[in-house]
Amino acid sequence: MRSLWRIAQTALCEWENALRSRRALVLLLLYLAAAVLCMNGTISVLGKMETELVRVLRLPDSGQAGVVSETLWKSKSFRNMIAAGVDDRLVFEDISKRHPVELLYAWFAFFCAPLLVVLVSGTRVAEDLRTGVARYMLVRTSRLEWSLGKYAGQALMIACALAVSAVGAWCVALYRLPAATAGRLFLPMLGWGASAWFYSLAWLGLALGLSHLTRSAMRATAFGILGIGVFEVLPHFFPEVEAILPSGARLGLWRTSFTPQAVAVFHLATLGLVYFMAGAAVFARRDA
Amino acid sequence: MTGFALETRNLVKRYGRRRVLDGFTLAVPRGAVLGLVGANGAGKTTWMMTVAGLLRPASGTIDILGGGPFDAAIHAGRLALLPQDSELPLEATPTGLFYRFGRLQGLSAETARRSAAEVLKAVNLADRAKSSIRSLSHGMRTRVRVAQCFLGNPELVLLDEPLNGLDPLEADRLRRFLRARAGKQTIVISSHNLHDVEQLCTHVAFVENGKVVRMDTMSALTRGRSLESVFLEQAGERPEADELSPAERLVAKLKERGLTCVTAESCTGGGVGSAITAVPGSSAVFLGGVISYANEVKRDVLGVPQEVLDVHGAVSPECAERMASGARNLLKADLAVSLTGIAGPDGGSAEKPVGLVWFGLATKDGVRTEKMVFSGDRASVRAQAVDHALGLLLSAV
Repeated sequence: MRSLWRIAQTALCEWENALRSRRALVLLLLYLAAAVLCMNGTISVLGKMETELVRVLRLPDSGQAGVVSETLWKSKSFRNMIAAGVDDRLVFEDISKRHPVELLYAWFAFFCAPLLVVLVSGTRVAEDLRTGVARYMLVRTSRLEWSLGKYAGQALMIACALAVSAVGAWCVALYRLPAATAGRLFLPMLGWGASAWFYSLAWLGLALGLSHLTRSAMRATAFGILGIGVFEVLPHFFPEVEAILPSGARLGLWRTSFTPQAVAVFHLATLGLVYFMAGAAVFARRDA
Repeated sequence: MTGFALETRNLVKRYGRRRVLDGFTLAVPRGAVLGLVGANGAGKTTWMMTVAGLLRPASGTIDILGGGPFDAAIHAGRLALLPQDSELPLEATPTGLFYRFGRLQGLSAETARRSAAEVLKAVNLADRAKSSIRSLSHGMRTRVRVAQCFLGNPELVLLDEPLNGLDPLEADRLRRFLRARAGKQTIVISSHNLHDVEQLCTHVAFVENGKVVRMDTMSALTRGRSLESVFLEQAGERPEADELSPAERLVAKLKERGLTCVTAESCTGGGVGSAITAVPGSSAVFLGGVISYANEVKRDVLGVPQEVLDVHGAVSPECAERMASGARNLLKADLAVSLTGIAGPDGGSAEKPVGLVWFGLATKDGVRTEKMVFSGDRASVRAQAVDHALGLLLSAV
C-alpha cells in the first residue's frame, strides 16, 4: 500500500510538472491543431469525393458531407471497396455501423498516438536523469516506484491530450456538419479518444522504457521514433512477431463488442508494461 | 542503535578502470556536523551519491541510520541529499514541489504544507514560494535546493557544496541556519571552502584519492591553527605566507623580528587576544591584554583621562590613542593595538553609528589612530574589528 501511495504521489508530481512544461504544452497545442486541421481538411476532401462519387455512382445528393457519406457507407459497391481495404471482416462490419466522421477522428488518433507519445513523454526519464531532477525523487522513493509514477503521470498526460484533441475535432464537426449529426458524434469521438489512449499505453511503455537507457533527451526521442519504425515494419517481414507488438492488438479496439475490446486493452496494457519494465530493469542496475 | 548515523566500510566505486572510491571508510557520529574536505576528484561527491543510493558501489558496506544501505521503504524522509549540479523541475513552484516531496516522505498533507512553508522561510524565500523555479535567480534556486533537504527534519542530511553561488548576505544567513541545526540532525557537508567548513563543522574528514586519510573533531584536528593550514600540511604542502591566517602571519612576523605585542580591547572583549593566542607558539610574542569594557577600567587601568571620556566619549580617536599608549606602557611591549567601538545592535547615533570602531596603534615612534565603520550584525562587526586590528599590528611589524 505504501508503494502504491508513493507511485500515486510521483504520478501526480509528474503530471503537474508535465502540464506546466513548455515543451509539452507546445506539443499538445500542435497535436490539437493537427487534429482540428485534419478533421477540417478531411471533411472538405470528403465533400469533394462525395460530389464525384454521387456523379459516378448516381446517388441522390444531399449537398452536405457526412450525410451523403452515410448513404455511401450503405451502398454495396462502396462497402465492398472499404472491406477490401480493411482486410478484416469483423472489424469492417463493426466500423460500417459508425459515422464516417468519427472514423476519421479515430484514424487520426490511432495514427498519431505513437508519435505524440514519443514526442511528449519519451524524453521525460532521460531528461530528469540528465538534469539531476531524478536525484531529488530517488532519495524519497525507490527507482521502480519512481519509474512507475512517471509512467502513470505520462499516461494521465496523454489522456488529457487525446481528450482535448477529441473535443477539438468534435468542435470542427459541429461547425461543418448539421448540429444533430455532430451532437450524436460527441460521445463516440470521446470513445475513440479513449481507445487511442489504450493503444498509446503500449507505445508509452516502449518510449519510457527506452528513455531509461540514456541521459540524452535527443537520443531518447530518436530511440522512440526508431522504435515506432521498427515495430511498424517488423510484422511485414515476420508476421509471427505481431502478437508481441502493438499492431497485433490494434484492430481489437476498432470492434464494437466488449470482449474483443477488453482483450485488446489487456493485451496493449501488458505489452506496454513489459516494454517499460525491460527499460526499468536496466535502469535499476545502473547509476542514476 | 550505534552511535553513528552513517557508516561506510571499504566502499569501492569504479568508473571504467578508475577507482573513484578506493576503500572509503567513514563513520559519522550522530548529531555531528561533519565536513568532507578534499581536492577536486577526491571522491566526496561520489561517496555522497553512493550513500544516497544513486550510484551503485562495486563493493563495500553502507549502514544508514542502522538500516543498511539506502532503501526508500526505510530511509525515505530520514535521509536527505543536496546533490551537486542538479536542477529542480523548472516548471514547478517551490511550494508545490515541497508539498509533493513531503508527501513522498510520508508527511501528512498538513505537515507537508507547514514544513514547506517553514523551510522556505528559513532560506528567506517565503515571498517567492509560489513562483516557478524557472523564474528564480541562481542563488535563489540554490537556496531552494538546500531547503528541500530539511523538509520534515530528516535525521541525516548530506549537503554537497551548499553555499556555492550565494551572495555574502545569503551565504551568511544559510551558515546561521545550518549552525542552528547542529546537534539536532547529523549533517555532512562537502565543501572546498575551508572557512565555511571551519565555521560550520564539529568534525572534519580529509579525503584523498577515494579514501578518508584523516578524521577527527575540528578542535582536535586544528589545535588552534586554521583548517586551511592543516589541510595544506596534510596535502604535503607548506602553506605560503598569504595562505596563513592573519594571526598566524602576525605571530610568524613578530617572531622573525623579535618583537612583542599587547592589546587593549573594548567592543571585541578580548577577541584580538583570543585570535593571537590560538596560534601555537604565540606566547613568545604576545604578552597579554586589557579588556577595558567599562569606562572605569579605561581610566583606572589604562590611564585614559576622565576628561577625554567626558568630552569626546569612549568611542573616539582620543580614547583609542590613550588606550593604545596606556597598554604599551603598562605591559611594556613593542606594539600595542587598541579598539573601541559600537558593535550594536543598540547604542548608535547619527554621529556615532553602529559599526563605528576607532583603532589605536602604539609603537616606539608614537601612536596613530584609524576610524572604520563596519556593516553587519554585532558578531560580524566584532569579527571585522578583530581582523582589522590584526592587520594594523601586521602593518607595524
